[in-house]
Amino acid sequence: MAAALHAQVPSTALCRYSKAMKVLVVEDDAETAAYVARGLKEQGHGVDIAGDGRDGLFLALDQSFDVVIMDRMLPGMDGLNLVKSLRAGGVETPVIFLTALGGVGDRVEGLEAGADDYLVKPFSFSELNARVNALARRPPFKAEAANLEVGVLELNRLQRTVRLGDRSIDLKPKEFALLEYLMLNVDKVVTRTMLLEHVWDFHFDPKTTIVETHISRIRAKLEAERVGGVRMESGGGGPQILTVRGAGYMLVAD
Amino acid sequence: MRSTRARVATLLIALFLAVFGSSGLATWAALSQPVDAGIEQRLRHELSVAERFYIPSDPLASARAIQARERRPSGFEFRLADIHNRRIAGDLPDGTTYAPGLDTIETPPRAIPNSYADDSDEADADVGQRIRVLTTVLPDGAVLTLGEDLGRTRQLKALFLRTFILTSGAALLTALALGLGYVSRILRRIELIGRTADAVSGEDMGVRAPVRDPARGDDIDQLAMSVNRMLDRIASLLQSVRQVSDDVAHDLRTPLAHLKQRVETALSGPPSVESYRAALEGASEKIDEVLATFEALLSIAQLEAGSQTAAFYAVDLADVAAVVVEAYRPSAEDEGRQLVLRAPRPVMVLGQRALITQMLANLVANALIHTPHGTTVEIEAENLGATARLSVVDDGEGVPDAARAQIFRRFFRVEQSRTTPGSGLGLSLAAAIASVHDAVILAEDAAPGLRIIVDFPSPSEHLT
Repeated sequence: MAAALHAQVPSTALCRYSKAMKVLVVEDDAETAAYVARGLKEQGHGVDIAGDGRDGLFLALDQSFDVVIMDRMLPGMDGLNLVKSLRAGGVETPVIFLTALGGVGDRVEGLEAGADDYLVKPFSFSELNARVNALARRPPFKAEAANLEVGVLELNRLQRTVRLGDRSIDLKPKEFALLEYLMLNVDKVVTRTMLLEHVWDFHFDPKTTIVETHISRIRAKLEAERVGGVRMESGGGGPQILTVRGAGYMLVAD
Repeated sequence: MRSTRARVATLLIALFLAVFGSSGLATWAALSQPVDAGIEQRLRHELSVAERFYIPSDPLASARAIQARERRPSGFEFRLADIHNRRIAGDLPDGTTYAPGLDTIETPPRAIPNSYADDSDEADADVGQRIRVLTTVLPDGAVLTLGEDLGRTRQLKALFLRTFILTSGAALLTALALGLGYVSRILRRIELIGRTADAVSGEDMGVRAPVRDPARGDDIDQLAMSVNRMLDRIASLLQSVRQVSDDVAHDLRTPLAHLKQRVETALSGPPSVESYRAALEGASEKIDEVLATFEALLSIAQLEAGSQTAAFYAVDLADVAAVVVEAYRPSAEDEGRQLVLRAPRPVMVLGQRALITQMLANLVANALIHTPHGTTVEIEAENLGATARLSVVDDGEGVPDAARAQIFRRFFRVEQSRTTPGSGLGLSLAAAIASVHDAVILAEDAAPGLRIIVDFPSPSEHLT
């Protein structure tokens, strides 16, 4: 039973029900651009590549994209200025910065300029892909929704309660925050790094199994209630947190 | 530097000539007028006296009396002539008509014996003399003329001029010598600073510009101290860069060599998807390891170089400790270790929260990784007045004294066998973060176990 619940899914299935997106990659390093574009195309997305900041700005202003991935240091126009120009031009497309600059100050600077996420080079494609999917404008819930529901799993953000069917689940604050983030990104892979950043505000490698331990505690609590006799309407296993090998975790409804 | 000296000398001389020249001219003019007026006054006085000596019945006796009087050292030249301008007595030349009143006459060369021969030179006598004369017509029609050789006043003026030139020349030379000496001393000190910079741009990073009196610190000392501060900063940056390259050579080469061996082993073996996949997975792991080390080294170098210049804000160490303990507690408990938090009150410091969190996380992770199961790790945040202390104490096996002294060095590991995980950079990074916050980090024997203390300077009163 445990094996079935903790089933690992292959890393190619990075996002269930993924809808094709249009992604703009602004990157002067051809190899990185090709690597990113190939990965995104394998996920079924359409990709446009701009080799410098000016082309990037032109494309982003001219066409509509779901996500923009851009290098921070670009010829023609620096990434920071590019984002500022886009925002000034009323373009609210989510932007992910790729950068070799990983310091605290650099990160803050990037986000203040109007970027939505920040990934330090070198990065793995699965990490980038998870972040692209998380940013894409297909929210399963309204950002301000008080109640998140995934299958029979229900999380109330105001009362800070979690229910599985008719059973209440008692979660510690960080477990609650972790489950909340997984639910907001239901059916999408979230990586360990994303969880560290969003749940703990840790922007470094904690060197121990913080995320793994918390995930397994949440799983155990869900499992206890399931064993306690929640009837599954669909007849399936109910909501569960899947481990995606080499990528992260994904909450699915059944 | 040479040209600076020449410029200073030229400027000094020009300034001097201007000041002394104008004051000399002014003095000359002021001096000349009273002297000329004085001559006229004395001539009039003397003439009135001589008139009284004159007896019209005996011009010759009168002439003798006048002559006797004018022989005195302060006497005048004179000439007594009868009504027909025939000389009766006196030395003044005959060639001119002496009209009553003041006049200046020129004598032909050597016309009269020069009574001031001891003072004037030959050339003077050769060109003749200029004599100021005052003439009056006596009641019997005789003409009496008194004259003062202007050579006397000219000599006075010459004496003044000579004295003036001599003293001003001496003053100019003295000022020039003193000024150039002073300028040279300053220039030499500046040259020394310049030479220090040259020496540093050569090889010798240890050279510093001489500072005469750091306490008083004149302008040149201030310059020297600024240059020295800059050199200190450059030296520490260079040291940091050298350290990084040493570290890279030392600890990145080994995992890279392992990586290459794995790839080569796979390539030289029989081709199979399984073995290639295994090799690639192994290689990918190794690369992650290298990247993590690289990242840590880079962070340390950036922190040490001070390029992480984000602003400092008020940070509550107690809150940071609570967050970190909460994050690590489940995994610690799963492995049979206890995390104890002792931070009941806010402990405020100025800093970057993200960095302080990372530092404490590193210290806690270090304590969890390097201690046996059953260990208790205590995390404490407390106010100690002048300092705010963050400490991580474990009751594990501890670290031998010799090793404890080196614990914050890069790549230093207590067990050289490297069987436990870790890059040997966690505590170095913690030390670098402490140093950015002007905090003192110490490793102590907790008997048993290890105690790491980070003492932050307390912020000013209004924050606490």
